[in-house]
Amino acid sequence: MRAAAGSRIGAYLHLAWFAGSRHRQLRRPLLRDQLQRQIYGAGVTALPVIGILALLTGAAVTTQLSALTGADSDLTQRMIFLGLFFELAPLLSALVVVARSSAGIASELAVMNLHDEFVTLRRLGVPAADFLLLPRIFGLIIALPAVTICFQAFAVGSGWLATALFEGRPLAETAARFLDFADPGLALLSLAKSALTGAAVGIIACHHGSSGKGSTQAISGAAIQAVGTGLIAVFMVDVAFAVLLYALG
Amino acid sequence: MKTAEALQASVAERRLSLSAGGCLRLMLPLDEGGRHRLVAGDAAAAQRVVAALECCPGVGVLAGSGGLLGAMTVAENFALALRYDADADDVRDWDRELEAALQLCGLAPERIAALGRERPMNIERTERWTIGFVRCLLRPPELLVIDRLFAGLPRRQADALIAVEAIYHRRHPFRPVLFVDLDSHELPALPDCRTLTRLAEPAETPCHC
Repeated sequence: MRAAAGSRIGAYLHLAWFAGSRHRQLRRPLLRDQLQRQIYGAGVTALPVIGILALLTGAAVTTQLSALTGADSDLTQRMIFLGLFFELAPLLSALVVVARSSAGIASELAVMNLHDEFVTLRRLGVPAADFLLLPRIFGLIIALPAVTICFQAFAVGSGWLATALFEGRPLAETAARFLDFADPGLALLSLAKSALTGAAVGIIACHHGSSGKGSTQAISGAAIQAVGTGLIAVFMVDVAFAVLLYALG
Repeated sequence: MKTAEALQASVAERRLSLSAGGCLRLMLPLDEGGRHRLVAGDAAAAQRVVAALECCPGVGVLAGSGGLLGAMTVAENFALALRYDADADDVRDWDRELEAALQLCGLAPERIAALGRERPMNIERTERWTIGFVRCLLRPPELLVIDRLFAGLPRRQADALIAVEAIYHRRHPFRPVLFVDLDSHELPALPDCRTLTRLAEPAETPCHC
């Protein structure tokens, strides 16, 4: 069991090293097209779900916090920034992307593996790993922070609106108080967290999709493994950043 | 099939050699062109032969299905095959060359116009193979291995594809083609076939190993 987990982590690290060392290949026009497709698939098409989820989360969190801490509380704004903006937005965005894209990437690659399309690509003179894995991994690295920014904007906007409605305070004043607590460094750190999560999710999905046995069962198996392990990776990155933030004071 | 398990292919001095179990079974000069045929006893043996040949530099394999990616359109398949490694200063007009090659292989202009948007899965097998063949025609490997083209193909269609394949020899007279086929009573004859190797039979060249 431990050996299997060790070899799997080794395979993830190997794929991460591969992606890092081959990223220049994305300058090729055909790979850039693939990258844009992945960003569109993982990012742009996720926006309706992200938008609705962010609006509801922002309103719910702000209302609960207002009820707990009382009106006119700086604590509410501080918690909106740290809890919602820094913590929940990257986490929920990553969960949406894992649910939508991770299974999609893994099963798509597993189907290609089943139909020997990796071999077909090689015979076309195209390195299969470059063409299939790089755009998917880097697509998520770019798409997830972009999705997170949208989530943060929608969630904080709906939070301000909820505060303005329930506490009867002008929207501009709520926004100004929030911005007083907003730390640009933490905002950037939240995006770095999203990018790292995107890398982890992409690497895990690509590994499970491309390393299956080439059978029909392997397709569902790859999707299940990618989502399950992807979720664990999302929370591990989240905890790592929380610890980092705590250590930095 | 003890011999087929230890297949080894290598290229040296412009010659490709294929050994089975340490015995030389096939030697192909890479700059003389022409058709060659290798007949394997079963699908697994044929697959091993192709896998061994594929490891050699300069060897291109064209599968019986045409070797196209099912998830992409025909145009995207061509773009990938022809432009992936193209230099920035490559001034060849691939679109025009492609159209001319497809016409040369017998496709009507209106069919060519519609073909780009279609997915390989929806195209009839012989046409799919012809499309894959056109890719090899435009970017010829040093040795083209045609993998089990005639398996399950009616005689009339097989003869039509042999006629299409003849274009390759006219266009690239010094590039050889190796047909890897399965041992079958229905196997069509290849005109001007220079060598015929049956993998299950003892090698023509005495083996002293």
